[in-house]
Formats: sequence, C-alpha cells, structure tokens
Amino acid sequence: MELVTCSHLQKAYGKETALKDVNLQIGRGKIIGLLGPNGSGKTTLIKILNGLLQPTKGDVKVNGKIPGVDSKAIISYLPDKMYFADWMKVSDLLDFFEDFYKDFDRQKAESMCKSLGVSIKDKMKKLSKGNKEKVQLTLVMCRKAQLYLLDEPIAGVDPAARDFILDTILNNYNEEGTVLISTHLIADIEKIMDEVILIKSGEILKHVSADDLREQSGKSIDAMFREMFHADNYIGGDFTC
Amino acid sequence: MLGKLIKYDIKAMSKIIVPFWAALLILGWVIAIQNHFRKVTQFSTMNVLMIVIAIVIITAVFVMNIVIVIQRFWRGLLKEEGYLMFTLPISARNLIFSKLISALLISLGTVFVIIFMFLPWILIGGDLKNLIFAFRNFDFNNVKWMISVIAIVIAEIASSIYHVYAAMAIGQLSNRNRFLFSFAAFIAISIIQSILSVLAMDVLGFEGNVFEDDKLFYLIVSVIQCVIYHIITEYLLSRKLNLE
Repeated sequence: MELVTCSHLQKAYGKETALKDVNLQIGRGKIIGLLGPNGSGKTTLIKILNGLLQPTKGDVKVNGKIPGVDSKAIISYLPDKMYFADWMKVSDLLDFFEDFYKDFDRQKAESMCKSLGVSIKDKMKKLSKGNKEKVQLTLVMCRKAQLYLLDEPIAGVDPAARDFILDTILNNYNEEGTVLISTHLIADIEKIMDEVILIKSGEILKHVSADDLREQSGKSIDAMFREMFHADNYIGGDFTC
Repeated sequence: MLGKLIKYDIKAMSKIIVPFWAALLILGWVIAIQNHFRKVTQFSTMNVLMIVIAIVIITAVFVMNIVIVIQRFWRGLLKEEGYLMFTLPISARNLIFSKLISALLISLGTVFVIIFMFLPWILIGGDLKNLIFAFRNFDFNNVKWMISVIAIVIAEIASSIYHVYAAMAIGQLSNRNRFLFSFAAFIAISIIQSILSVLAMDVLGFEGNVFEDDKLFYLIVSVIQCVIYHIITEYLLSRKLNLE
C-alpha cells in the first residue's frame, strides 16, 4: 500500500483555486522534494495531508485512511511558522510531545537541545528566532514517524543554519518512513532528494526520481527548475548555476 | 488524552488568571482588616474607595476570565497554536471538550475566589457566630433547591462558553476577516437563540422565573443549547477546518 494517495484532489479558497485535480502517489522510505515557486500550492497540499485543511473535491489517503486521528499519529509535521504557546518553556514542549506522541524520543531531543546550547528551562519566546526554529525541528525529527511533512524548513535562515537543519533531518529521520520537504531553494536539498514533485499553480507538473530527471534533462534539478519557473528565479535567492 | 489536554489548558489559563485571583483575595483581607481597626460603621472616604477598588478588580477579573476563555480557543485552536493542536492524534471532540472543561473550571474558580474574598470580613468582622448560627439552623430542605440552582448556573456558564466557541468555529470559515465574521456569528446566534427561547416559553407556557418552578425547564434548555453548539463546533472544526 502506498503511504500517500491523492486522487483528483482540488482545493479552492473562495474563487481562488489553490490545487487543481492533483493525482499523486507517494511511497515509503524516500526523501522527496516538493518543489515549486511561492504560491504554487505546496503548503496547501501539506496542510490537506495532515488534516489542517479539507479538500474541496477529491480524496486523500495516508496509510490507507483519510486524514484523522490515525494518520496524525504517524505524521510528523513542521509548519512554516512557530506553533507553540507563548508561556511554554522548552521542557513544557518536550513534556507535550512525550504526552501525545508515543514515537517521541525525549532523551534524544534533550541531548539535541543541549548540543544547540538551549537549556530546557529556557522560555521558548525568549529564544532567538533561529533557535526557536531549531528546537521546533528537533521536536519534529525526534519522532519515529512514517511521514515527515516539512514545510519550508530552510526558508529564511542563514547558510550555516541550513546545514544544521539538513543534517538534523538526514541524521534523525526514520529510514522506513518518507520525508516530504517543500521548498523553492532547490540547490540546498538537491543532493539528498530521491524523488522530485514539481508543482506550479496548483498542478503537479512532474513526479519522478531525482536521478531520472537529471539524466533526462542533462542538467541539475536546480538549473531545470530555474528554466521552468523563469519568472520566479529571483525569489529563489541564490544564483549558483 | 483528554486529561492531558485539560492539564495544558489549565496551565495556560492559570498563568494569566491566578495573579488576578491573588489580588482579589489580598484585597479582601486588606478591606476586612482596615474595616476592623478603623471600626468603620459609616461610609468614610477610605471605605468608599476600598469598595470602588473591590468592584473595579472584581469586574476586571470577570472581564479577564471572559478574555482568556475566548483567547484560549481562538489562539489555541484557530491561530498558530492550532497547527500543533490539530496535528495531534486527538479528535476535534476531545480538543473542544478540553477547552470547555478547562474554561468551566477556571470560571467556577473565579466565582469561588470572589465568594472567598468576603470570608475575611466574616472572620475578622465578628460575624462568625452569626455564620455558625446560620449553618446550625440551616434548613436541609433547601439543599435540593441549592443543587438545582448550582446545576443551572453551571449549565448556563457552559452554554455561554459553547455559544462563543460555535461563533468562532463559524468565523474561522471566512477567508477575509475571521474575527469580524466570528463577532457577526455571535450576534446572529444570540438573535436566533432569543427568538427560539421566547417561542419555546410561549408554547410551553413558562413564566420565566428561574427561582420558581421553571428550574428544570431552564436546565433542559441550557443542556440542549450546549448539545447544539457542540455539534456545530465539532462539525466545523473536524470537517471545515480552515487554518490560515
């Protein structure tokens, strides 16, 4: 059974269509890049997969079930914003994850916080923006989940933090599970991707293996992406090709 | 799981409300001690000032209570924190129950604190004998009456909380201004509720006096309101959730 199946998935916000007839199957044990320019529907697709949004039409199944209590138990989600309450200390968040997720490894999370120089007694709101993001990523990656949904984990951080984030993902994910990383900063994750999903204006343009895509096009995925989404080049930020 | 959710909600709410409760209790003692030593029998300036301060703080605590009940639901489920709460392996029903039970407990806590605020008056003011006398001569036939009034008060508070929750659950459907839409939904629900209550009382011939024989009617109405508001809230948050 595929881990994720979307059939004829549509999502509209009022008159605006965010996803148009998305058909997608995602297997297990892979790192997949969900690549597309800003506003292409990446976040909407991720939110539908974890039940934060309901599709307007079509079906979504995660591990054979529509998003609900069962699917949420096997999904580890990193949103593109801070989602903890202001009053929480790092230790409160650790308690919280330990209380609600059976697959959460508290010891590992504590030692990762320590290596970041973050005390578990620190108040979350007093941490620097970078450390808040790192703690949130640590919590998400210290779960032995089946599906990691990481929404723009490397957007808006400096290159050193990007390296930390990618290393944390690679060193900690459950290898039997799948990691879906949405981003428009392709150069940074090019080397780690097994598969690529290219999305534009709410439509899936391609879903292929990263190697096949490079072979077919004879270019790096980053270069190909820049050609495909020419108008969005500037948003991508780094001009390495 | 519900117990764990309630634990976090109570913790979040108590961080804000407990200092206000403490202020009320301290003020209760200050007023009682001041009255005792000054042997105030008439309305002196100081006495009036103390009463005004007490009324202001009691009002502030009530307002704060309402604000945190709304805030815990709005920020805790429908803003950024919602991304954490709605991705937990927990049903929307339990998330709503947790918010409701913790809001109810905090609201009852506020009521008790206000009652206890007047305890020093009785203890210091020499009215203790009267209180003991009143307890000794308490007519236990009134217990049934008291229990039914307490049940109505709890059901009324619960239905008021649910009313606000349902309005916010409707408001979050808007893609434009979710807060304004929630406010409009609150007013619309109030109007519908008033019309239905008047119609129901008219049809069933009730007088509208909660202290007389209509207590059961009031209790049933509040429970029905709770059930309807819960169904609306749960349906919208589980089937039509629209996090920004």
